[in-house]
Amino acid sequence: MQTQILDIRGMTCAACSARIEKVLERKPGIASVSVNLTTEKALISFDPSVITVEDIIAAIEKIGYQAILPPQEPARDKDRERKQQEIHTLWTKFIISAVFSVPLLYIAMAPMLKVVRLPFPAGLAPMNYPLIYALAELLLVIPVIAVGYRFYTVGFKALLRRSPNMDSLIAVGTTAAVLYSLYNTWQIIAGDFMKVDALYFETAGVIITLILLGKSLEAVSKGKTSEAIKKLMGLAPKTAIVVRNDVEKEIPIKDVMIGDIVVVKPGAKIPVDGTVTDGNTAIDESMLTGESMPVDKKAGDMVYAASINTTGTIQFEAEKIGSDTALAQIIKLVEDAQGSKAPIAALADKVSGVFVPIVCLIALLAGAAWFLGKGFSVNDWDVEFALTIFISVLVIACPCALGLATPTAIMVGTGKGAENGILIKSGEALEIAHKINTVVLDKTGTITEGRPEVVNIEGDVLQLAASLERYSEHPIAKAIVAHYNGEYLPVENFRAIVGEGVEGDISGKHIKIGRGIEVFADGEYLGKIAVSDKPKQTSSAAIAQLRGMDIDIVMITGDSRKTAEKIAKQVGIEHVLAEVLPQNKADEVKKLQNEGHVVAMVGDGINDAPALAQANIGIAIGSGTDVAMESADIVLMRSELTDVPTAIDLSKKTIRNIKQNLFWAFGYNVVGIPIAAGLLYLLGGPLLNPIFAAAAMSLSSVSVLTNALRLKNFKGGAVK
Amino acid sequence: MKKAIAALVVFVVLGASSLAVFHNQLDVVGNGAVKAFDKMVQALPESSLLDDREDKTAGLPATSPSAWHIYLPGDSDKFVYSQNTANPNVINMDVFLEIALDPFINAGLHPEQLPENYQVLDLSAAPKAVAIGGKLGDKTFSYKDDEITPAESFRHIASFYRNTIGYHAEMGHYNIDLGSGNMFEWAKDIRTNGKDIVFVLNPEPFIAAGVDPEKVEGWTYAQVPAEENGKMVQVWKLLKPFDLAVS
Repeated sequence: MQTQILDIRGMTCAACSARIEKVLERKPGIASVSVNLTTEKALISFDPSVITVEDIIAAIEKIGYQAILPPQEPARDKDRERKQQEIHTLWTKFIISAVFSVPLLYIAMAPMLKVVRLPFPAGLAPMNYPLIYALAELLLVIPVIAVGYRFYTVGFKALLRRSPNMDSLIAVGTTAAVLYSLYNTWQIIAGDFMKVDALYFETAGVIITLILLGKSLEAVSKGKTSEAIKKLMGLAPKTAIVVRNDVEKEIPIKDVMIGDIVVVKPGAKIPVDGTVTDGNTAIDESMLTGESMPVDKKAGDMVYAASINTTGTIQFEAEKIGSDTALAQIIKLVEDAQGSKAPIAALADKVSGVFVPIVCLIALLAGAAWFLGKGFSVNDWDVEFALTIFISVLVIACPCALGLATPTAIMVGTGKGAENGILIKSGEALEIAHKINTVVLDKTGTITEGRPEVVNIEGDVLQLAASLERYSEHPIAKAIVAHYNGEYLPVENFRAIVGEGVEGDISGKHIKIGRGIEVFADGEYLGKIAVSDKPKQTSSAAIAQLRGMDIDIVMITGDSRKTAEKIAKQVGIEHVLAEVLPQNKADEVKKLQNEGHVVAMVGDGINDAPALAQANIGIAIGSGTDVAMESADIVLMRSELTDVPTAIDLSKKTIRNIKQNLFWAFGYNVVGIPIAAGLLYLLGGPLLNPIFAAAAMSLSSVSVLTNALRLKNFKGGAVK
Repeated sequence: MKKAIAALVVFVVLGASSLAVFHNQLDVVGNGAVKAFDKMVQALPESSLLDDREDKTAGLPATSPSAWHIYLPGDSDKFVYSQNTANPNVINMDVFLEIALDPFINAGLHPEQLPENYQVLDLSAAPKAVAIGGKLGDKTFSYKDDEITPAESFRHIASFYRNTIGYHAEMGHYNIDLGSGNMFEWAKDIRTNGKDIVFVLNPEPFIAAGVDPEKVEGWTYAQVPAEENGKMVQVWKLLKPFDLAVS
């Protein structure tokens, strides 16, 4: 199975994204499709032996949308420029249409105003010069229609393909208004001057203008939702200084090759990932990790693209370039998350898919019902009234807000997470995180520093232990080796037994170091080494915050119960799962899940990977291993446990925001459509003017976006 | 985009210029009013339309220059309009209704209490009448080959004083505004409209002069829709319709 992201252009509402998903899901070989209206991207999982990317692109283009492979790194700027250009074009179109719509609305409304008498050109007085008045309105509406031609080309095409979208609603509604007004203009020419009262040119003009305004605001807001990505992309420097043929040379970043020796001077950004070969410095990695303190670097240490060299000049060997750098991986991760869908969006997607055809039907039925109802009951065969109802229903009912409700909040939420060093890998993870009621914390490296120190030695065992442990990667082994300054004894037949300890042959004796760091020679007890790992400074605060969120906290460790409980007591954890073998950690998580807990597992080591995968949400500490981060749903770039409550808090706020958005989007349509269909009028209230319907429709999208943007105010670490 | 904007600007400028240049041709109400007036005049019996130089029986003395007098059925009321507004007549009115005062006097009118611009004509040869109308302006009407016709005179009025011409949609009537809320209306289509001509009077001055509007014989006191300060309102009027019996 292969996964492909495609940029989709030409989508205007949730009906479009739903249509693309529907069409692709029917194609053989496609396993899953997720089309995101906000990011304008499709994430497609497919079997390349059955269907090719070209086939998928062709299928999308066949239904009227443009599908293109996402641009590579150098083209990203162009893509951003294109989006900026789109916003500029939309604003220009809005301004042009407003320039014509404002006078159009004025001449249409001024003669009708009852409260104040506005100045009005005598030569246009509708009752005296009805034809000139109608032609003046027509003259003003034509440029507006020309500017909004895209609603017609896209809308009618979609209608002909029997997949109407928002543009179809606008196109049908405004076309009905214009055609009816043209007919009445002809009636005026034919001598029926009263038809001057039945002109709806301004309705069409103002609707188009308001929709363009809504689209412009929407485009600007969409741009703001992806600011996190823009910030990340903007971090990478454009050039690098490399040493070639013993000469320092500044070259474009894309020309840096693996193995190049890169020179970075104080104040400059690290251009690619690599290992320091010469020099000492402190590097500000806050843009990647959120950690504000610069990190000391010397030969052998890794440096990462986009971090800032603060004090000394260093040279390093380029090891990861282009899309392989940590920065590129983070950008991809955030992009993927922003493009993914949360399960909560499923309902909105389902509704959007059938929404437009149903609205068309409601508009027709409501218009017909009023025409026939008034006709038969009071002998008032009022075409204009029925038309007003028809247009209002079409215009007020737009699934834009529904389509934007979830993805915009997820975009802002995941972006905000990234800004705080919390990489949320998918919308689903973001959604599930808010349900977490139990957090299982790995001890070593998660609660504690992960750098244990020798505190006591019983017996003459240090040389033996250090000689053996120097072949192990375990933090305890490293602590023993670090504590020993003498010569090592040669070791044969070294073996690390996961969860048990290490063993090997030294000087003809079989030496074994068990879990309690007890040293045995050919089965004879020689002594014991005691090590201690300090809790991180912020662990207690993080655990208190989690408890304040009514979340159960469980510590899980392979250490002895005594050691585990000592640490647990220090940080305020009551529920301890000690002496758990790495392979059993996932089982412990499963047990908790079976008891009805929604579990987040927080860990950093390879041994945590199965438990991270088993948990409802796996949270990897950023300083941990690649495997742990691969298995996790959320990665904390800083090694701070306080980011766990922050991530859960962000999830809760994002989901609350999505729910608010969905409430308003659904509520808007549930209330708006009956009003547009004349319910209030039926009960003695006013009839909704199509112009107000257009304004309400545009406002609904803008209000949903504005609400999503409120998430930008989220402050990391604000959980009490 | 710039080209498109330029094209739109050119389009709108051309469109607006065309509307200005062809304003008269596109004036369906003004042109329709002249046509309908012409048809109405043609439908009048020969004796009902007189040049006042010939109208020796008219209540108003001959004026110089002349006006057209349209006698309505019953011969008690007439509509008078100028043949050339450049030369004012003795009562300084270019268009006016000349109506018999007897029905109003019988309904309580004290003629001396009418406003000054309501000119009471107390002539021995005719019943008391009042001229209600006004001066349109001082434009000179030029006639082709000096042939002064009723239709041509009205065309000049409609052309020079277009803002006085209107259309009363509910009745299917064109009208000429005589000022002070008074109007002369004629049917857009005299073949189908039962009320070919209607005199419309503002009842207020008459009520102020003692008239009970409900009791004016031959006149109907009713509410009609009218545009007032840019909005449509229902106003009370005294109405006198005439049917020219044209089919």
